[in-house]
Amino acid sequence: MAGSQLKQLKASLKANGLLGQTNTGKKGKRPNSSHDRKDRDKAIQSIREAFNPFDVKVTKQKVDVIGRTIQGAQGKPGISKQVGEENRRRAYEVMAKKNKAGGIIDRRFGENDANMTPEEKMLARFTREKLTGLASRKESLFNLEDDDGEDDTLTHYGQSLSLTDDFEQDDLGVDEDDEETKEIIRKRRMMMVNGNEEEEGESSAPKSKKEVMQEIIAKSKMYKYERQQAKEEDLHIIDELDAQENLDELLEDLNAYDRKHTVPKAESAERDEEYEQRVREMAFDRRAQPTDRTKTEEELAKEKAEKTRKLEQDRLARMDGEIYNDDDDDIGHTSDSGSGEEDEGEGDEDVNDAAEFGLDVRNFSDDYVSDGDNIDGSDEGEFLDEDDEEAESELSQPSKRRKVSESKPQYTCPETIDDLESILNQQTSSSEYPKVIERILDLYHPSKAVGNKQKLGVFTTVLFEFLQKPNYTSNYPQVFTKMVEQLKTLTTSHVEVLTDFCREQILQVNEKLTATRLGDSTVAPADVLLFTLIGLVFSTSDHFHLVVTSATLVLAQHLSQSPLRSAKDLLTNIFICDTLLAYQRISQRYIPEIPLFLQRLLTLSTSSEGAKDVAETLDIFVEDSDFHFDLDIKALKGLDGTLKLLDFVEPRDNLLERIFLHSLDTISTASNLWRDKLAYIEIFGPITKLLEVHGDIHPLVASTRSKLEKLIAISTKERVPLTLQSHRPLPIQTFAPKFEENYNVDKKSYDPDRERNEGNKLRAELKKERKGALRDLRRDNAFIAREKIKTKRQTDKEYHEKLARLERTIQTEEGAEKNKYEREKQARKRKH
Amino acid sequence: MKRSGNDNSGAKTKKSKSSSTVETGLSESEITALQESILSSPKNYNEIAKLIDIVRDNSIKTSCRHSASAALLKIFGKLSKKGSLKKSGVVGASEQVAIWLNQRFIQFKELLLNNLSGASGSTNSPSLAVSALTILLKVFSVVEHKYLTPSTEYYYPKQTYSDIISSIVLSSLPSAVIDVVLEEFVKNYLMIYDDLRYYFYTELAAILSKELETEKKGGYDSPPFNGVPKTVVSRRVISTLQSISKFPKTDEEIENFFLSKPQFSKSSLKSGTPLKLSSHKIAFQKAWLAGLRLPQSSSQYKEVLNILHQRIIPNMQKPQLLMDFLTDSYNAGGPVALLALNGLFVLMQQYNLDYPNFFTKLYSLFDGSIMHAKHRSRFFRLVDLFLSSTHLPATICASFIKKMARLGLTAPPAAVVTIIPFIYNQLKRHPSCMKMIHRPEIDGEFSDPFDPTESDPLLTNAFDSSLWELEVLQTHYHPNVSTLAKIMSQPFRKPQYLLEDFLDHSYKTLFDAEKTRRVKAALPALEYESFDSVFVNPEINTGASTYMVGWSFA
Repeated sequence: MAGSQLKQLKASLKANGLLGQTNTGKKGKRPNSSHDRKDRDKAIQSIREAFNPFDVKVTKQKVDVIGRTIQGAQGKPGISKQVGEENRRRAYEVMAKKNKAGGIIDRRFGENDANMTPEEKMLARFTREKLTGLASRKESLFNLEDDDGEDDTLTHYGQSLSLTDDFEQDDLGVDEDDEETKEIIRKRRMMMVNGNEEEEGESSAPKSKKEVMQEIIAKSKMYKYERQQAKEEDLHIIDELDAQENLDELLEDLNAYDRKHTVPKAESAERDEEYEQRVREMAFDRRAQPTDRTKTEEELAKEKAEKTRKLEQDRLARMDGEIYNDDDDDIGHTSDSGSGEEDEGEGDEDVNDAAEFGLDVRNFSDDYVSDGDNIDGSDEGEFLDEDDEEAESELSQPSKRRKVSESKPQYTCPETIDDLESILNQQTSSSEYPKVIERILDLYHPSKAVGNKQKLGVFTTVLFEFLQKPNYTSNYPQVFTKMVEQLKTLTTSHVEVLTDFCREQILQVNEKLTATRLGDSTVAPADVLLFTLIGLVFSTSDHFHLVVTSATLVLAQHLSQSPLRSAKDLLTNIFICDTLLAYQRISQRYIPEIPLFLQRLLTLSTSSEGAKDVAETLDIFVEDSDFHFDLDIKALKGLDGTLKLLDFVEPRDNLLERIFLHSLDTISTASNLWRDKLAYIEIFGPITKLLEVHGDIHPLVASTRSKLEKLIAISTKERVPLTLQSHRPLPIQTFAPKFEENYNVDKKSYDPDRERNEGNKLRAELKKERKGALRDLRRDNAFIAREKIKTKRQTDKEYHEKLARLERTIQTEEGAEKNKYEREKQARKRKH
Repeated sequence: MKRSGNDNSGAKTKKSKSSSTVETGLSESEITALQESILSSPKNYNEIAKLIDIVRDNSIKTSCRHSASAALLKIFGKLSKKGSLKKSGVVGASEQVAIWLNQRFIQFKELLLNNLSGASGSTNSPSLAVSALTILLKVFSVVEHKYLTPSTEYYYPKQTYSDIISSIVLSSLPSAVIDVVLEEFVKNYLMIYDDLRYYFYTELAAILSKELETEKKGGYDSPPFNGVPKTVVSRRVISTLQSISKFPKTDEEIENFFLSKPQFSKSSLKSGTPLKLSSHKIAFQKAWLAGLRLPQSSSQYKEVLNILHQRIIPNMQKPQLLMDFLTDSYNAGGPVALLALNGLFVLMQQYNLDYPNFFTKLYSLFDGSIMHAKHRSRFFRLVDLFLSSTHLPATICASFIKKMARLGLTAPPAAVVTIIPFIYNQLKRHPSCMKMIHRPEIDGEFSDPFDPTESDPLLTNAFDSSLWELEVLQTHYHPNVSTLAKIMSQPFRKPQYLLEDFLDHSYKTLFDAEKTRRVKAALPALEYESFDSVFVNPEINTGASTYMVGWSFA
């Protein structure tokens, strides 16, 4: 498009045939019809619009960048608005016509075209007809001349008339003879098939209302017909049967049979009841259920191994603190404390650094939920997992076996330790104890009566308490072990009760130990046995354990703070050491109090100056109040390190020497436990030095020392400096500006990640589309509202006009009548 | 000296009463009557002697003696007001009377002092001693200060006050009695009256140094400290000094005077006046220094050191004088040294005290007992302060870290909780020490160069060692402690741990935390492993597994 506006206008006018040789059409065809004029106006209007420079709106760029094209910088809002308006109007018109029947649309070809001669019109119509015929040939169902319509089937009353496809639908099993019934079935089925086919075939295209109605009518007619047919056929069969004469005989026979076999009603009811009962019993009898197949030895072993493996896996998980169900997430969130600690420091003084490790002294979390109240039996199943059930069944096994001998003694379920003792004291020997306990467990099995669960819960604590009391008879160790096993089995279903009990006990013993340290009390075997039992019942390897953690703390505190004034103190502490080491036999955690105590013990057990010097140089902490003693070397020779719980009550001779020898065993145990620790040298070095000071007073001393020295030597050789910080180095924040090579103004993103880039693009597009769609919807609604108002106004106006017209008519008529009357009146006046 | 027959009526009463007085003493009304009669006329002055006799007599019940001494106080008060006690210097009858009255007055004072010092032998009742003190102070203030002033100037009856103090401090009375007296003295007098406190400090210092001097010289007539054991004296002195918690902050605060408010003069300033804070400070300092020269029991020592930096040093004029004391305490090592550190630090910080080999000494304080000491948190707070300088050589820092880690191997969990953030902070301050926990490349054989016996932190070679101890503590039995120790394996992102949050732990706090803990969801796990025998069972063969090896029931 070149040239000035004027030239352009001229060119476009010429192109539309509005300019130039207007008089060329002198041939006769004066386009003076209204139709032509309308076209002309339209063309002029469009030209006017196209060339109005005021329609163009330009958004001014603040900074003009050369070579940059911005979409939407130039636009014709007026025109685009108009276009939109027109589109809407068109759509609105279509919409307004929707669901409206009637109205005449002139669809004749070339009807409005003034340029066409009648011949041309006819030709056009003919071609159009031909073309549509070609296009819709497939659809013309009733075009019989169409040969290639293979799928076409003839129908009658909506049924297919083709006879080919019946075969497969037939029931082949039905005898050929009763053809009539067969036919009925066949017909019915066929109908259904056809109906389905129809539905399937037409379901692809949505049907109009009319079509649907037609279909329904057709179908109902068909069904009606079918019903008539079926009824007729049934009647036919009945007639046929009636025709045969043996039917009456048969009926008579049947009646006779009934009368003969009827029994008195009451008797039968009774018998029925009995029968029903039996059936019910059998249904509920456990024996009636099929049992599992007896497993082979290997299978059992495998199962056991699998179970053990699972338990071990769980234990390891707990040991690493992976399963940690503590309520305050102290420990849980420390695992990521390293990574997520960007915001520390500045303003928040409330944050206690220690609290994040659960070491807040200021406030112990008070949001604990005391849930001790769900120990009642009602929610028994709640915490009975597999193991528990198994344990229960184990418990119930003896009951089955024992059902045979009913002469067993009856006990009340002991509620206090005294109850249990009074029962057990009736026994002839302590070896009977496990049997008695088994009997009690049997008698009060939870399945036997409501409330037994609670009773057994109490009994668990009673049994625990009983086991705390030492018994010095010779066969007790075995009995004790057996009873511990029973306790463990029992505990599986009463964990909560026993936990609360143990925590309470720990509190009490802690107070007692504190008093002991102050010299106000003495330790009884029961106090320390508590901790041994805890170690036997609870899993001591856990990272955190509700019972074991507190127990360990109490023991460790006593170990480090108890003054060593007498052999009794040493005995208590060495027992504690062994208990704590037994706790850590799997998790192998380090307990600083144990080496501390062992060092103290070894320093005290000799009054030689060497020990004191060693203690001083090695920073071994010995309190001033500790008592020093000399070992009786002569007596030492014939002793071994086995200690007795009885020693707490009645100390034997040479107890100090025995304790000393025992401590050597403890040292070996500890050394075995912690041999892999990197600071093994630092832990056991001082002990070795102290053993050196003691000299060869007993073969055990020398052997222990050589063992330690060997391990120290190995450790010294293998040890390398720590590499605790060998994680990926932290990236350093950079402040250098990032320059983009090949910068392009129009480029939106320089993301090297292709996928992300595309994702972003799609997202942006979606956003844009969404906005556009919303805008369109808004405008549509506005348009519709506008149109509605317009039509409403229109109708209102029409109505008012109509009324006004009516009024006017009436008034005119009235006026006319009045005039008439007046005239008449005048006329009469005149007459008179 | 006895003067009889001056007045027959007086003699008569004396005669008539004396028989009864010996046994029962006089009733209150009789004493009041006596007092009235004495005051009404100089003729009855002889009755004074009788009253003194009552006061002196141990066999008479205490209430009577109380009222007698009260009456005497009143009498001497009135008389001194009248001026009857003043010697005119003119020979005559009135002079004679004045001399005699003066002698009685001195006799009375001595009696009261004896009640305090226990010289009279039998006054074991605290009430008597307390009343003696009250009366003496009255005598001191009213009679001597007010009426017996030799000149118009401000007069402070030094001798009387000094006698009071020395008789209390060097009293041979049982400590239960003396403690009550001292408590009374401190609570009702020394804590309230600024001048009394000031003179107390001055006199106490004088008495103590005199006694110490006497002891040193030897060849004394009377035993030093009145024969009372020095430890007892020291206990009394120190506890009294401790319990006087009031001390003025400014000159304006000195406003409570037991005696009249002294006039301010240049000369008095020189010799010290209760009006000035500086004089108070000097007196305070003298008293404390004298007190500290006495032998101290260890608990006393700790108590003094405990309050030294907060209550003693700020009130002294020249705290540098405590330097020797503190240095000695610091060198004593052990818990005493820990406590001395605080005072020493104040001196170093505020009074420019230079302590040679300070870090060596500090390093030597890290011994086996430090982790178990009661004042651990206080000590660590200070050590943190001392080591907070980033200008400290990394070798010194490394030595401290290594030593702490080493001691952590036998430390209670509460101490471990302290040292781990401590070490963390130190490593943050001295990044070159990071190689103690992370040193991937080593050439050839490696052997630990750390010398635990070396006392100089510069020479321990800890810098080239590694903190294996921390690795062990990461497997500490207490879950929270082990988690805390694991910060050493995590990236060092936190700039600093707030040490204060980790200092005040103990077994108790840890146990209390466990005690209140409840678990919502899961129940405690059970042990599935079982043993052939829990305790050693001789009947089971040796291959069986035993839970408590080496233990049997009987």
